[in-house]
Amino acid sequence: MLSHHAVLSSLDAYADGTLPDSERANLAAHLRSCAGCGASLRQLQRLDQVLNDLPPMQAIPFVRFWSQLEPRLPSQAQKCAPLFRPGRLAAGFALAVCASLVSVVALASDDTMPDSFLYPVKHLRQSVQLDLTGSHERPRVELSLVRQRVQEAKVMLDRRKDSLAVASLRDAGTLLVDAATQLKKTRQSDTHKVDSTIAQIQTELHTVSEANRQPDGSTPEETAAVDGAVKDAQNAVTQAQTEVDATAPGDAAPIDGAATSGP
Amino acid sequence: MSLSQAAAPASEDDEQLVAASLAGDADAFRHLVERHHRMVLKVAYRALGSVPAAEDCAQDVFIKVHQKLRLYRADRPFIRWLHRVTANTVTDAIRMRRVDISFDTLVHEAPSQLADPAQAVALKEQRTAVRRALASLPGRLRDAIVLQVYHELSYQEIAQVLDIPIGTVMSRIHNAKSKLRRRLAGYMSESQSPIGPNNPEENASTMMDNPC
Repeated sequence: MLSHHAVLSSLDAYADGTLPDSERANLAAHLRSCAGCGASLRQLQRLDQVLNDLPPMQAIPFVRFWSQLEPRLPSQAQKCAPLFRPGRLAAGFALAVCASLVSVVALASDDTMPDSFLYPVKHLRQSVQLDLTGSHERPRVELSLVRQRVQEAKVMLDRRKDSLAVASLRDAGTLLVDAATQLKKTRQSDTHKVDSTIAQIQTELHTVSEANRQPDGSTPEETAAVDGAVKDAQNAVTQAQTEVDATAPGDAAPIDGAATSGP
Repeated sequence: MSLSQAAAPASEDDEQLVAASLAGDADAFRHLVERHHRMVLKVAYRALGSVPAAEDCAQDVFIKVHQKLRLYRADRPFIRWLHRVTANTVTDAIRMRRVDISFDTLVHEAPSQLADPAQAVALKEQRTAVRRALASLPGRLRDAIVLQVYHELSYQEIAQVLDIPIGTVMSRIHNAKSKLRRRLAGYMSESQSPIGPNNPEENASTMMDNPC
């Protein structure tokens, strides 16, 4: 026999249809014999009607919606350099902030890991550096950054910080997608060097995948999340490789870690 | 409109589109909007009760998404994040905007429903009262009830979107509904058809406070 308190606490879920079947049968039996609780249920159902009492919305064509939205979206340039928007900050204040940040930026080296409080500074510095890189050099810089992200993922796995490993791998995937796009657009002069970097990334991704399979106390969900991020990155690597294969070989121009070091 | 239904993959999943958008692919963001704008518009319309208000609100949602895309945590489903941004924007709109239902909504009613001017006025009055009652809720209760009633998410899905335990979700929804029942007592009579307020005192006496 259910108490009224138990009924009241389950009535929302019953009315919403989310109560488990086992409890639902008991509650239904109680409702048949208790006029008060039955009235309470009808009140809940009535409340749903009152909250939802609107005619169906007429469909709004996507073209119309997008045509109104697109002009309101900030451009990529605005997103990347909000500090330089005129009128937003006094120039003197911005300069003072920048000057005080120089020492922090200097501390955030390429070896800074995602679990460090300086990591966002490193990430921002590399993003700015990437934005300032010309389209021809961009894929090389991106591939160097990908190697850093994959190494970060490996270190984070070793430290049992799976979610940070996933974030680094996703970041690597994003860079790889863009690198593939840029490789398609620009003719690279030394495909052997690009090939070599891509092969290193593939090997390092494989190492991360192997490390993820080692029992280390991670939950199956965490392991699956890392696995999914590795697979996505591997697919992006394949895409980048395809673009390189389509590029004719030329003069040598090295890719190295120095390309990613800060300004 | 469950999380899994809304996230049904096409050629590219949401997370791939986000990654491509962050990498500067403008078409990827357009595809994201195209995939989800109906859900956002529907939720905004149901919560705000007006098509123009829903359009404004939905645009605000996607502008926020575009601005904050770098803050999205890629280890969680995008749709979950989108529901949260939508719920926040919608509940802000409920709170900020002058609570009134314009006649643009009423013109979409079936002619038979609008044949009686008194009925049309009563309907408008009820909808205004609903938005006012929602606006009066504390933010944490308003988020939970909006996600349940207008996003049509399950308790489990709401728990994931808000990142809170499912027991807390149930408690917030229960509290929200209790407050709404009290504040909408004048519209709660089952015999009320067409809709319109009657005696709140009489209706309040049939509430759940002492059911048996």
